[in-house]
Amino acid sequence: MNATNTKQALSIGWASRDVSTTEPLNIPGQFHMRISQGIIDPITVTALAIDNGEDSVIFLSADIVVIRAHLLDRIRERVAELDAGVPVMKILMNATHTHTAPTTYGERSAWRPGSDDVDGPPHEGVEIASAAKYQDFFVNESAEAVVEAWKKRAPGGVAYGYGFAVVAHSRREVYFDDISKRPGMERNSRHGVHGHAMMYGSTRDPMFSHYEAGTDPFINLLYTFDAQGRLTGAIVNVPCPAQNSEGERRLSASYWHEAREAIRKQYGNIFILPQCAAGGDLSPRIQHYHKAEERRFALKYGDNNPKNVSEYGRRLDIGERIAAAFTEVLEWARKDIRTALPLQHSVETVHLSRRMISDEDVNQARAELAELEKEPFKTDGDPIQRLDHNSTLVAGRNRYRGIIARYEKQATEPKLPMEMHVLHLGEVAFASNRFELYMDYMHRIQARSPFTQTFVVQLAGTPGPEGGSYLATERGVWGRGYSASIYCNVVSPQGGQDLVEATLATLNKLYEKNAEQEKNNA
Amino acid sequence: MHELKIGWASRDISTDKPVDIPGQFHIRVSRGVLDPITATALVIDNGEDLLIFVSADLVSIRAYLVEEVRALVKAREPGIPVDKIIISATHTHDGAGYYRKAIAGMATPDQVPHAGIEIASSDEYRGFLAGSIADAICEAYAGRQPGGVTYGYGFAAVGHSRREVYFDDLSKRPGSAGRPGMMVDGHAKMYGPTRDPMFSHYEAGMDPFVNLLYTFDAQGNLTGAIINVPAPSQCSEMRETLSADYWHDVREELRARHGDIFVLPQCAAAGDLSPRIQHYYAAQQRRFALKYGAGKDTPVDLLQRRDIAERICAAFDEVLGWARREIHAALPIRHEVAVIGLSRRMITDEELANETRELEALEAEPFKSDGTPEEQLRHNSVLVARRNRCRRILARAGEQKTQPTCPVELHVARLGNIAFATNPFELYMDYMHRIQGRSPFEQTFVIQLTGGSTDTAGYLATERGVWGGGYSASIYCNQVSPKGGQELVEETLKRLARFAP
Repeated sequence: MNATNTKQALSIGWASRDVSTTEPLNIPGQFHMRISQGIIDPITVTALAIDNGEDSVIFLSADIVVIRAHLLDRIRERVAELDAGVPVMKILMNATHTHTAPTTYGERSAWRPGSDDVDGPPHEGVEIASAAKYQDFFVNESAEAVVEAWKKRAPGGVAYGYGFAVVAHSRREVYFDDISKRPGMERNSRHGVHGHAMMYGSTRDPMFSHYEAGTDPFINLLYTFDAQGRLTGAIVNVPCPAQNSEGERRLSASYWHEAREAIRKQYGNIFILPQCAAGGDLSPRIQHYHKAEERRFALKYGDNNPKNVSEYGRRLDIGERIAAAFTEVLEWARKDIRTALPLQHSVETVHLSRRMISDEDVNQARAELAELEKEPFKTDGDPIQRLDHNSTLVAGRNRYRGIIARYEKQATEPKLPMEMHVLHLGEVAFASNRFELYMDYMHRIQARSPFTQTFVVQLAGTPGPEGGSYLATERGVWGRGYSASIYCNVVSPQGGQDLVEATLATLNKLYEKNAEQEKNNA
Repeated sequence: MHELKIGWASRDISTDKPVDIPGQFHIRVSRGVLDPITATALVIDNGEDLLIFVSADLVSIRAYLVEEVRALVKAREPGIPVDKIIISATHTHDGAGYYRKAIAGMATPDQVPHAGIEIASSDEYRGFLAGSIADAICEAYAGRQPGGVTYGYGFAAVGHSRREVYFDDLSKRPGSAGRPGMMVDGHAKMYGPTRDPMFSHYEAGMDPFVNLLYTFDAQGNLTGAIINVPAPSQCSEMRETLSADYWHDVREELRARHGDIFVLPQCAAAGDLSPRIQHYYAAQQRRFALKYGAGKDTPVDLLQRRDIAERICAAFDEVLGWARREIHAALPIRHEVAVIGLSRRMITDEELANETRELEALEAEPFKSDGTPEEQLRHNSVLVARRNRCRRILARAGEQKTQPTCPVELHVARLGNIAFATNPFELYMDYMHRIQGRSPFEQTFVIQLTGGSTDTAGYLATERGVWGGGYSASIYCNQVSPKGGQELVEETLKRLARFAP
């Protein structure tokens, strides 16, 4: 291992917690509420603390859909209670975007601005466990993982590299025609307003033109080693949300479970910290070649699906590819393990231009909300059918209410504040954002970054009640469709470029400061 | 019924003569062979119909080469339906020049003074090339034996978008002089810098799919494979030695693993793709330094080739691992050859007037007569290429008055549940997705840069490509319009539907 500067010797600590629960909790991620019926595979949180004596970072990755409802605030508070020595503002927390994790939102009123449905839809006949209690549990487990990782910091080293793993595919299909003008097309707050583009649109359509932005096969990896040079864990940064099995009513970490299993099969029980790079317009599912895929999995995996999990073949397949890239990069990257590195970690609040709601949009939202408010809750069918229907109705209302609430404050608050982490560890950098960020923004950042590799971390936690939301590009907004509609975008493409420029300004500042320091040291 | 007979053959088409190496605006003269360029033939015959694939390590396949090959094959083996021969190029930019004189594109040696530089005859090389390809076809046909095939798809990151799009129109930036005969950048630029503060995105992204068809002998031994990858083999595109580019590394690696099998590379639609990443250069340099022990002076193209070969071979093995559980010894085959007309990219009056002016200026520019013979050849061949390309615009402006479409030979074929569809272009990737997305077959191998009886070729850009402009999407590069591209899609799908399982 190479130690270039003992002053900046690295100490590294890891910890993880299983935050699965058998309680019948709501599983957020779809418009309808799904109440958990058990566990397919564990939901986890994983913390990695890296400290060089001058600065530090605590990565915290969670197998959850999004971080909101003061979750980050509460974790920081709890960490401070447990150990006042932990620099809580240096916690960079991210969600993998699994759509099969229990709710971490706590009480509904804590995060849904403008919502009158504080208690959610009626759910007679369906037991739903307390979201508040689960949030308490989640906060405590996460905080304990952070504190444990911090306390366990010990001398060690890191290595890094990039490889290729095909995980994500474009999920935005673009058509020659404006599909909102086709007969029978829905126009509502749930499905967005389609235009020339549609999320998960049919590629068999004769008017299918192209995938909007393609995909990104890069995988960024940061490995950690103990003082004896043994591999202890890794950050695995993949531009793809973990949302296979997204319709399940059981808990699962999605493909990260299979990736962890495949990696641990080779390397033992090391820590794996998944990060989702910019993947707002990407999905872990191919959008054509469905029959070929079916045959692939039938021949490759046969009937192997002991828990009868949807998209199991895809998950195994993705897990294999991530593990293969992990190994390929590790083999050469471990030739350059660093035990001392400069580390600078900037945490700042940036302000991003909002996507404005027009008068026409808000008037339409008001009118359509009035219609939805007139619609009675379903009272026939079985309890699950009623909950599916009624929770979708409530979601539809809430999305209109969200538009009205945003309209009312956009004149006085034209910018959205967001906690942004930018840090570098030697020649690699990390840059966070709260969004489901369209891939193009990542390319703008990575291409212009002064660092050798830049890990973009999307769906990072930010203080306050809000979190997540898609950040679409110009071409996305032009094409419209789910993820690029006003219902999905709090920030505009201009705000997206604000994010790019703010990130790059800090990356450059850190790079120059580090170069200056190295010059002085020399 | 439908029992398959399969035959393979290959020829080394390298030459140590100082031939022209086409692929750039300037003439490069071969100084030797870096690694063999080859032609590989595969015949699959089920007694009712047959497929004849040929892949050549060349930059393109001209109609006269196909005609010569078909004539030779017909003369030697009248039983072969020569119209069904599908010859495609891997698009290596280090293949040997076989072009006839004075074509209306890049410069040929006869058009450029090259005193002091020996350039071997391309006609002579073409004779050798056509004979070698014909030999391979006849040998593959004659050697057909009962066997089986299987197929599958996997993933290998090989092609990356090479079209960068900017917030602003590059042609309006100060100092951005147009380059008549070469390209006209707009919002897009091929190989544009991604470090530019106005960089917005890669135009269409990339495609990581690899389509594979494996063949086996009657005992179930692997005998060869078609490997269909959407990326031209042009890592080493500036060398002055012959090379098959990354396909050489792929073949070497596969043969190390599987013995002396045949490998038939096909380039799927990749007009807007390149085998080179467009950002992360420092990370790539570090990757190669650590992985291969490469120093700063190690040619990066050779490292890119090796790295790509590893990924293709990994995909090859991954797919073979499960696909060989289903080897078919009998399958239906249908193969249709047609000549279709595709809408031209029309030259406007304004463009015609502009090109007329630009050509006059280029014709007034004298050949360089100072510097070394190599410097003169480089400069003067670029000048001739630019003149040629302007002249071609003028010619097309005349032709389009009476011929609004360009003829294109199209092959559409079925082998069981998979299909093959050819085109002569450097086809932008989106067209392939339109075909594959709507094809009734499990897998559809799109084969670009396929030669035929027609001479229409060039890049076939999409609507968004033409909007962005830049090399590969300019009038110089596009004989056929985006409308014509969609006609290709529909004509292909129409035939695929007829053959549907």
